[in-house]
Amino acid sequence: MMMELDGLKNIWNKQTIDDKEKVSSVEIYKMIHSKSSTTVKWIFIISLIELGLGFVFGIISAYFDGYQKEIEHLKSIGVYDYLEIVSAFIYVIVLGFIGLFFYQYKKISVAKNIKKLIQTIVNTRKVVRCYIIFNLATFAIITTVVALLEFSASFKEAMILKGIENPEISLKIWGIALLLTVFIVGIGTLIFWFIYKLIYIRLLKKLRKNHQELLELE
Amino acid sequence: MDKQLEQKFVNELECNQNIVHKICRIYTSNQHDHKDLFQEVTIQLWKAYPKFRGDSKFSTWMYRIALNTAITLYRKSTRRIKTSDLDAIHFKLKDEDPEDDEQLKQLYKAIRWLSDIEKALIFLYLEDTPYKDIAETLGISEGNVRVKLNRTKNKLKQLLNP
Repeated sequence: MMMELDGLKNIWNKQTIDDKEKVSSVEIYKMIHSKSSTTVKWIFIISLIELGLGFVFGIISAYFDGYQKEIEHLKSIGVYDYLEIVSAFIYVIVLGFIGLFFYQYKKISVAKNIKKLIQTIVNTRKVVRCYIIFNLATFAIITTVVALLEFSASFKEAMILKGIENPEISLKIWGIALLLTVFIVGIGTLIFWFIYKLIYIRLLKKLRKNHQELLELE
Repeated sequence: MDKQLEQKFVNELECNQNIVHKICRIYTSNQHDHKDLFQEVTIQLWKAYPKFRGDSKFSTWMYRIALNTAITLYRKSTRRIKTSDLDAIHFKLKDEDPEDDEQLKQLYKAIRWLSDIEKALIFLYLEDTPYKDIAETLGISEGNVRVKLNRTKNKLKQLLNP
């Protein structure tokens, strides 16, 4: 039998509530006082963890034994003051990211149309994604620079111990040191990025797909 | 929020719960998920209720919130439901005609094969929602609603009459 949509529409409108599904007013009362568990809530929790992680690492590392020694060492090679300035600069940017994140999050409203709601959620996630990229980039750059300066200091120290006065590092050695540092830091950064992507692929897959479908309609 | 507002909301939702059940039926495949989504929609409706100004009907406002919850906020993927069991679809028809009952089950089964956005379009079409309101709910132009709806209706016809 050929099923026509207009005919089915009439049947559709004959639907009433099945007794097995009917929800009483008491149950509705219970429901409105229960906790919500939505994608947005999870995005918010994970984002807060990510935003706070930088601060937590900073605090924890300060308690490690090697931390003070490392500071002394960085001071001895003349890098510490610059690092302090860069750190202050980074914290200002991080605070900016946190402010922007809360501003975007506040804009999420279920009463918006579907397209706008998805766009707002995606934009909120973009702020955190930019924050992660910024952190990874600063981590990679600072680590590379500090590692090269450390290498230079250690190399010269070793040469002096060997009795060579005013040692110079050749361009070839600089090149090898740079390549090795970039390679190691690059691998570390990529692993971190890969783990980060894995967390979000599942969380945002449905949203991205629906967003794409709505964009294709325009 | 005061008790009076809570009472008013509970009464309105109790009277209009059929809308939420229909949405739960097309976006979930079993009773557990149905209840889960119903609860999430109820929470979202309640959260948004203080800002509901009554410019539109309560039912029209419910369409948007309930669809937004199913499409955007609901954690579980609605794409896993293609292999759903027809016996798991519970509804009641006013005249309890067995032939209509079977056809409606087939309709639900076919709708479950559509994408989340197509489901929303077909749902609003079946609910006799004007094109203008469908466009506003989805956030696309009326012209695009017509084009996409025609495509989705054709797809649904093919699913219903393979």
